[in-house]
Amino acid sequence: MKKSVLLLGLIFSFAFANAQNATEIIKKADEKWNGEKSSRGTMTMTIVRPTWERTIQFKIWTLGRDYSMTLITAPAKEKGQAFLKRETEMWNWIPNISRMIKLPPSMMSEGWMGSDYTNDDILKESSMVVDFNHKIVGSETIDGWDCWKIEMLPKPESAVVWGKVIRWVSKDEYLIMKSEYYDEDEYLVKTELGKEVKTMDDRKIPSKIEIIPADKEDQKTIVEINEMEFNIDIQNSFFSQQNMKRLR
Amino acid sequence: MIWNISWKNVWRNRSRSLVVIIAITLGTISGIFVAGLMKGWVDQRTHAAIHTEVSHIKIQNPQYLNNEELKHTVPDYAEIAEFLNQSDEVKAWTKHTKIVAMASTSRGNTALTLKGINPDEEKTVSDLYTYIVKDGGNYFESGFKNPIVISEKTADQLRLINYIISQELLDSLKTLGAKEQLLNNLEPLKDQRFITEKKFKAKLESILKPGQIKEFGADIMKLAKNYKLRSKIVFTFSGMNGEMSYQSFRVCGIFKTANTMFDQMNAFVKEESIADVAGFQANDYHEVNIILDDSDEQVNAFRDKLKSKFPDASVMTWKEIAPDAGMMADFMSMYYYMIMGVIFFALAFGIINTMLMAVLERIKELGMLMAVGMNKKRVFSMIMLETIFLTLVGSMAGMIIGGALIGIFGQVGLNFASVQEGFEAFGWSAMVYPNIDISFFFGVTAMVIVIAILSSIIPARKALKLNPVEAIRTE
Repeated sequence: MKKSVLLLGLIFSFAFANAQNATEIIKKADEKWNGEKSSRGTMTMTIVRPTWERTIQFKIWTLGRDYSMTLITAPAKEKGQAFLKRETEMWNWIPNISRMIKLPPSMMSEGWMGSDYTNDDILKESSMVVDFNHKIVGSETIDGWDCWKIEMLPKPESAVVWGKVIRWVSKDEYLIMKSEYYDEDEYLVKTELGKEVKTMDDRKIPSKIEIIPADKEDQKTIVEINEMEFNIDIQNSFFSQQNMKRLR
Repeated sequence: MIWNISWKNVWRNRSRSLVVIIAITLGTISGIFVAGLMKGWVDQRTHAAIHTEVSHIKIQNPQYLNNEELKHTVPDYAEIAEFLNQSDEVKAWTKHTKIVAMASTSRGNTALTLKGINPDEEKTVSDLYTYIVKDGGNYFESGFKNPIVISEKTADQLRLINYIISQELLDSLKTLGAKEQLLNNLEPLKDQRFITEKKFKAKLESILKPGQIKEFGADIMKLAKNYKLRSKIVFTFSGMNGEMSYQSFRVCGIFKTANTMFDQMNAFVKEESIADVAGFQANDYHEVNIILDDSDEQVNAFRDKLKSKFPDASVMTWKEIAPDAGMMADFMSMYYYMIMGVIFFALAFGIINTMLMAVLERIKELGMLMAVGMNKKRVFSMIMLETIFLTLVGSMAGMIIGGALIGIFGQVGLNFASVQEGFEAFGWSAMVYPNIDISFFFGVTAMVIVIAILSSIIPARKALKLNPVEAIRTE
């Protein structure tokens, strides 16, 4: 009797530790991206559609989790457009018409610049840690990296559209190598792939991220990180509406 | 005496009279039926506008009409509530909170007006709960937390309607008389899920022969349709303090009214499930809906009363909120008579022609009557009465048949399914139950008599101009 209670306790504590562990991993992986004090980088986004393809280049500045600024530098048509994120709000400066737009809820679920990346994804990044229960379900090797396979189920009542998310996080460096998003009937909706791990400013990060919607053929979005600096000297005041208009 | 002669005269040349009578009968039937159809339509639309969509009177914050911000709640709500509870005219009333929000699922998103309601009160004001589609769940009866009732249109936009070929479907196809071949063709698709109608149709078209699709396509579509009840929908909106807020709901019921516009815009949730997230206090409501008796005078009188009592609030009747339906209701009663008028105007020429012939044929006889002392007044009234009898017989028959047709179709309904989509886009139902006011029949009778009198003038004048001496001598 005593033995079985002990055993049961052991199993529980193990299960608990395991769950804690999975959450820890996701948290560390999340911090890898968003936990730096500040960053500056340039990126290239390629949107692939069945009949066309286009490339957008932009610069990005971040401070903590809550502030970020994005400036489009190419193509010429969109050049100068800026996006500012402050906590839970987002603004868009469009120089062609000299207008500042606060992104309304209706625009949050639309693809950013026509890509498969939604504004909501950008605003709610931290929800991956907070709104889900995490569980390690195995180990797999992705692109030569030994990864934990972590199953993430949304907490009941949480404002998450996914039914399940599976994430592969590398055992060293905590890199997110792959994420699969499922709907509530467990059908795959989209896949996110991290590729080409490179060292940037002494940190290893996947320099290429691909987003592939599952049920739309020949359609994907690729984001390439060209360069990235971390912990730069940047002030809160940089992330202001006035500054959006001045950025070059 | 004159009446008698006139009546008999009508039937002297039976076939000619019958031709005109039949023409008038058909004209009346079509006029009455079109009017009945229109009226049925308008009545359905106004009924839906009042009892499903807006109610008789709506109280809002005047600023909310310009700018749908959450902070513009109904002013003096507590006083208004008390006043409504004490008013005898008020049959039922309820209140809503309203949020314009973005709804998203893992596969789709759409903008919606989220209405926070109290389901029990709402049922007394709006009959929307009767519009839940078959297999589309229920109206806030499921026990789970944060239920939401959305329209079929919204469900489609959020990809919450799937198409699945299940064993059950195959079985029911068999009972419908489908051949083994068809079932075998469908077998490989079994239990596969299609998230849009378009994809499912395309797949069916690729594996089935045109003949099979023609025969069973509609049945397969209908049987394969599967509403994903209990699916989660996440709403994003700016709350009371302007900050972005999120709330998730689970689909409890799916409704479909005849008004696609209304369907597309509205979703219903329990008021308590939205109040906290949005930051509503007690007595924060965006509209108060009131149901009175169906009489324009009463509605207007009560509106004026509310207006004078609560000058800070905007008080509007359904005619002001849904002007399309209001305008139609007012305009239609005139429109029926215009239709009838046009039909009778055309028929008048036929009547004139027939009566002219009747007069010319009887020149000798008319001369004789005048010669033996029948005065002009009597000749005139004889011919006029003849015309009236002729047209009245036709229109009476027409009204009886037309009325009967309306009675029959009023029960069965007329289905305009082939053009359904177009109608419903404007809020008009594709299923019409014609109906008609008794007063319309009196109006038509009066119109018939007037037309008969007018069209008898020319033939009667012809008769009056006859010289009795000459007339007797004509062969």
